[in-house]
Amino acid sequence: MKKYIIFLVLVAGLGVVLNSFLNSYIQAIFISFIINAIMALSLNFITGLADQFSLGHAGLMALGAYTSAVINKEFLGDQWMFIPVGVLAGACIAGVAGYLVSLPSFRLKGDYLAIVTLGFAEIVRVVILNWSHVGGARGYNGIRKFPDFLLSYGFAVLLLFITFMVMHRLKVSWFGRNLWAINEDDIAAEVMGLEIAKTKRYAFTISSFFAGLGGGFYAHHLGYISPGSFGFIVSVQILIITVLGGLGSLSGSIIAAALLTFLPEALRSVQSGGLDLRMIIYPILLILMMILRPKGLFGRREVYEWLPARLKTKWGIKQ
Amino acid sequence: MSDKIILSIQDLSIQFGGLKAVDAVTFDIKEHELLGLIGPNGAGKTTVFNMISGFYRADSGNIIFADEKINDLTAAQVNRKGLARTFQNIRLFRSLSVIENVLMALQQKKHNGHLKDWLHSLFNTSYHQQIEKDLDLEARELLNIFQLDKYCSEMAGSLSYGAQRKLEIVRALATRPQLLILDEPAAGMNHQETEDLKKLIRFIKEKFNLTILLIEHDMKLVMTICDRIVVLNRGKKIADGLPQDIKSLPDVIEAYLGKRPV
Repeated sequence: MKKYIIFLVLVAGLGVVLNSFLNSYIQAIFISFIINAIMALSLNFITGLADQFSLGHAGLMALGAYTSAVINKEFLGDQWMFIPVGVLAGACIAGVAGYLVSLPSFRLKGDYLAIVTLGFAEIVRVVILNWSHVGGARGYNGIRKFPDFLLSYGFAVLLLFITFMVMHRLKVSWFGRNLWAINEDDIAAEVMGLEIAKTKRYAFTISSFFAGLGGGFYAHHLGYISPGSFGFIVSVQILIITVLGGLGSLSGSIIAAALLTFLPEALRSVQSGGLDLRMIIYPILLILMMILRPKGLFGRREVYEWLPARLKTKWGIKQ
Repeated sequence: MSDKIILSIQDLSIQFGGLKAVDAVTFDIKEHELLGLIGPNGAGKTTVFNMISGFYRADSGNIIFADEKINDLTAAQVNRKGLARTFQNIRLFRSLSVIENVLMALQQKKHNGHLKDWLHSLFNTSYHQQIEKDLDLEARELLNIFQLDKYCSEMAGSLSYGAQRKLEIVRALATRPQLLILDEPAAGMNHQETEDLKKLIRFIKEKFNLTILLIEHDMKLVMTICDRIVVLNRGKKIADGLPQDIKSLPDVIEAYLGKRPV
């Protein structure tokens, strides 16, 4: 209990600091970090834990974003109070879509699965592109935002916290073990009596749900979404964050999200003359990471696993 | 050994392209029997295994396990019926710890993926913690029996070859089978390790009241521990009987050593 109170105080403190001492540019970056973290966690659950390569998370994110935006504007009277309802609906729609996609596609593995999920994301994008009711290529405008940064921040942190807790609890429980087993050797896992197709489907559905959650919040954070916001490159960015943090390391995903959200923004100021150093430093960092830590920053392990044993027992962390 | 037949293979055939890999093979295993399945390379032993354990669909014939036809079940369903197997090339969850390997096998019967299971693990309820604790205890007990408990938190892939073989057998036992199928357990083992394996197989057969089907190349091992032996050659059964009788059959000698030129 105590650790949750400490966590809450820290979060509130950070919120107040961000709110009162820093400008809205930095605040906005902070929120995008949280969205990236949710997306990376979502992808990590299916790609990191179960080793099922998905390139369709931008599509799921788009589903969440558009659902949430449309529901809020058309059905809930365009009120900021109802943003959480819309976001939850978006997550559910993405979850259902994820389940439907997983029905045929989890007969496939590796590259083939990546192609199917990529195809799904493109279908979603193209459908939105041609759907004039939600703005088509012009995008969907004037989505209700939170009136105040602290509200937005609080909701974002809550979403991230829920995402992390759900995935973490599942990771350390029976379901996580099943996913690891599939990751390691799916044939052996099947021989142990595990229905692997079903397990992968559940994992993908959960992952989709949280991708939709992140997408829903994304819509209400920016206030404007367009099909262009959910292109292939977004899926790849999420993948980069996940891989950098370590496939299977949930806390790693959050840290990598922070790194890869703040770093490009910080590098923006390192421009000298006409040369955009950002485009040089950023890829070099990624290449270095792949050489020095090919399994990502934290591999499969969580950050807290490096804590000294004394603190672990004190905080009730299983060794 | 009782006379009850636990697994019955009837007229089993499978064809890969033009090759009839297994051709009308028929044999039975009685309860609590240790049956050896031998034959030269390419005789179809592993193919028979793979059909029994649900990886290949037989083209024709029946596989009857405990009075139930299991031809069309998936590998997972076959396991749930009480039939566990190991692999010729060890297939452990290499980056998981030794105990996690066993836990994964143990938990399949406890967590069947009902909504209740999910909610308990999401909210980390005391019920969930109790189940985890029970599983952990059960896994440790099982590892203890095989003197693997000291490696509990080691990565499975870091164990010695012999220990990995042993762990694979323990993991198969953790699914609580009635019939255990061992696919060349002595492959790649030295003399001492094979001796230990021999003891281990006898031990688990008594301790867990198992029926064992053993595929093996190591003749000495097969001849000393099997109650009965079935010999395959080129997809066909050529002999079925007690080890001492099998040894002297001309067909078997020919399959292994070739024909003496006349």
